[in-house]
Amino acid sequence: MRFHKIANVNKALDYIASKGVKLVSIGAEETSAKEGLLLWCQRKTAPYRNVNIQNFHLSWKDGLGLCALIHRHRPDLIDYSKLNKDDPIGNINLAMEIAEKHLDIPKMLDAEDVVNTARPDERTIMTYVSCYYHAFAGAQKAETAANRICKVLAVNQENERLMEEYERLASELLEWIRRTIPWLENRTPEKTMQAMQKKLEDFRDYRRKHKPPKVQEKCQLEINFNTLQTKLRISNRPAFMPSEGKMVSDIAGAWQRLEQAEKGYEEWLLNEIRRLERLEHLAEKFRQKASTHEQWAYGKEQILLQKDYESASLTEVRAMLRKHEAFESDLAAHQDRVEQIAAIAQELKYVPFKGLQLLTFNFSLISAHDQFKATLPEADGERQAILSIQNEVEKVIQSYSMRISASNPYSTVTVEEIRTKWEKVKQLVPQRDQSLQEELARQHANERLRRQFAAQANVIGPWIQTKMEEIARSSIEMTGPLEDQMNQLKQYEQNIINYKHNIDKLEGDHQLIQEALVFDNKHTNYTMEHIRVGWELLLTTIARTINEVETQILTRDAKGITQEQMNDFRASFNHFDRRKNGLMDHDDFRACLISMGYDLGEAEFARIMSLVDPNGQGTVTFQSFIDFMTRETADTDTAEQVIASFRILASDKPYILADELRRELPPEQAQYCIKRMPQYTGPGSVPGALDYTSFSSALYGESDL
Amino acid sequence: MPQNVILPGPAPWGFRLSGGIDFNQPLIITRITPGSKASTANLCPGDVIVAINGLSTENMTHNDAQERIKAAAHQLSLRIERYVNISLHTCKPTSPTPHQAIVPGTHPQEQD
Repeated sequence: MRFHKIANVNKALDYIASKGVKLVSIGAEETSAKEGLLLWCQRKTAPYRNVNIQNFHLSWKDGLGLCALIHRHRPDLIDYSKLNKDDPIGNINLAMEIAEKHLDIPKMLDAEDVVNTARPDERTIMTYVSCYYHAFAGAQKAETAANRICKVLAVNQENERLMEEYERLASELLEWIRRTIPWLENRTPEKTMQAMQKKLEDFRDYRRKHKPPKVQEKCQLEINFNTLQTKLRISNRPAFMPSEGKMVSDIAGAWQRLEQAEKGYEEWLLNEIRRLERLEHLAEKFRQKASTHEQWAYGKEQILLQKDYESASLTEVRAMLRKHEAFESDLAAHQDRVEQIAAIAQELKYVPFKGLQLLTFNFSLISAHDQFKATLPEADGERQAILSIQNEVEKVIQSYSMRISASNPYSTVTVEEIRTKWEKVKQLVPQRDQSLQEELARQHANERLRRQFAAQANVIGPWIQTKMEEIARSSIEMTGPLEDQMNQLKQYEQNIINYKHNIDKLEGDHQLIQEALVFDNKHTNYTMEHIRVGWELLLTTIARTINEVETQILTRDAKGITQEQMNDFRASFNHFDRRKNGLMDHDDFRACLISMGYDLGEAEFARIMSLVDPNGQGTVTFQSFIDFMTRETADTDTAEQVIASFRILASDKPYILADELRRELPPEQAQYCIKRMPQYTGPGSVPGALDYTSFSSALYGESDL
Repeated sequence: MPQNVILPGPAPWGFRLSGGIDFNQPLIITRITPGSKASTANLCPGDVIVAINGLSTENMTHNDAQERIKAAAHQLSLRIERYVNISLHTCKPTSPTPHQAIVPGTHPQEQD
């Protein structure tokens, strides 16, 4: 009976070997393998209270061990809760049935034999159990390998996406800057105040509505770039080099040019407006004086050219002479005024652009006006006197029936003229009263605006300063975990967002001030420009600082392992550290790896040994063990690891076939690999062989040649 | 000033290649295996590979360059550019003298 069974076992072993599954060899020298296998079984069956694996004979008699192993890995294949110790033969047969059907493991045991023999054959049991080990650990390995490859490809695709996004955003921003700079550098002056006011309004719109989102875009671009570089560094990829003209330095340079153009533009706008205002004022003065003069000069030439003296009497000539003398002195007075007008015209032509003094409103104007008003009653008195004289003249003429005109030969001024002018004065006085009062009110209003602006600016300016200092301090003084620092920064960010409405309000006041053409403010040292720049800087700084901490967290997490994992590693190491001196020897290390599901071939094990024991001392320290485990379990990837992953999927061949890729990877990733992998041309090549080694190293931009 | 370096075959040549147009980076040597043919030929980390067996690397992807280097059988001819920099290796900057090129069999350390 037994003879047949041994033959069966051999057949089974051959069958398994033909599948390319490597067996843990069961030679006497391979006790480390046995120990590793045992530990693995213990680990995997630990959650099953009715299973207690201590050896490769008695522990397996009730069949629950096998069923537990199956259930642990493939709960879909067996309903463990329905099993119990009292049907050991049933349990063993069930496990073998499932293993044959679903795991390709031939039935090697005789259930009755196992149950009825006092001490079942250790070798047989071990062989069978190791098939389970290979099936499950192997499947797990393949799954891990496939997952790793998918992760790597996903990282690649994500990085490519980030790179493309960076390039796109950079292009858009640069394009906007390119469009905007000419507008800011255009210094062709407008002819009217309204047109310039419109320009000022457009500029304000630019600063309040169009530029802030661009500031944010630029900041976002920087952040994206930093995050991308960090991700690349962590995943062991070469750094990102943006294409020509889109480097961070290019963008910074373009932005600088934009801001310089901006500064110049605002200055120029204000200067132009002041200039135009002064021009308008002068033009008005000119018009007034010129028209007065014109009025006076009107008709004088005619009179002067009259030759009425040729036929006049002596009296008449004398009167004309006196008229003429009066005219001459009048002319002298007007000469002054004409010169003034000429001077104004000259000024209008050559008004300089800079250094204009503001028109300060002189309160003495009001007092002068009041003084003038005080002279009105007297003047009125004189007017009355003139009128009565004229009346008398007319009466005398009438009473003496003289045939002369009532017009006064001694003066050119007629009563009519006096009357018209007096009417005019009577109209103008209250008008001037009103405009003086209006101006006074305006000046008061302006002063109120100045104070209002100043009051706010003097609060906002220092607030921004304080916030900047707080942010700077948080990065220097923080000694706690990064998460704490992040929380504090996020809080600052919220404060800043909540504060924004103050800035908007200030902008509103600033707009009023500009519309009122007020250009100075002695109540505050802060200009709107200062505040704007400070605000923008604050926004950028907080975003940047948050990004820095995010980067640090990313880096930390990528390299780190959880406390639980650490405990696991420690436990494994301690178990195999026989002499309790913090060292494992090679065999123990191998057993340890096996117990953790790392079934290794010779070549692979040799490679790992060279990593953990580079100086060939024959021992593995805990630190190098941890380093190795960290590398294996963490998300960091190297080209070697990816190659190792592909090797697993390719069952240790130096090339992989398209079918294997399709079988092990999701369709999209499989296609990606099939498309990009070059043909394998090394030894043992077959048609359709794909070179995963060069593909993997090319992913990282590095190859060893 | 580029210089020509010839490595006697066969592979492995003993250097690590990095970069390529698909990485927006020049093809550059980032590591030399001590005692290898590359190290004997005085190649250094930081050397930029400008041509491989006479073919310019200007538009080569990493894979392309890798393939070409692998394809070289009895010798590998590289044209490299070296920039003077304050680095940790002990290589000397490029000089224009043509006899810098290593010809197989003439170097005193050449083995077999």
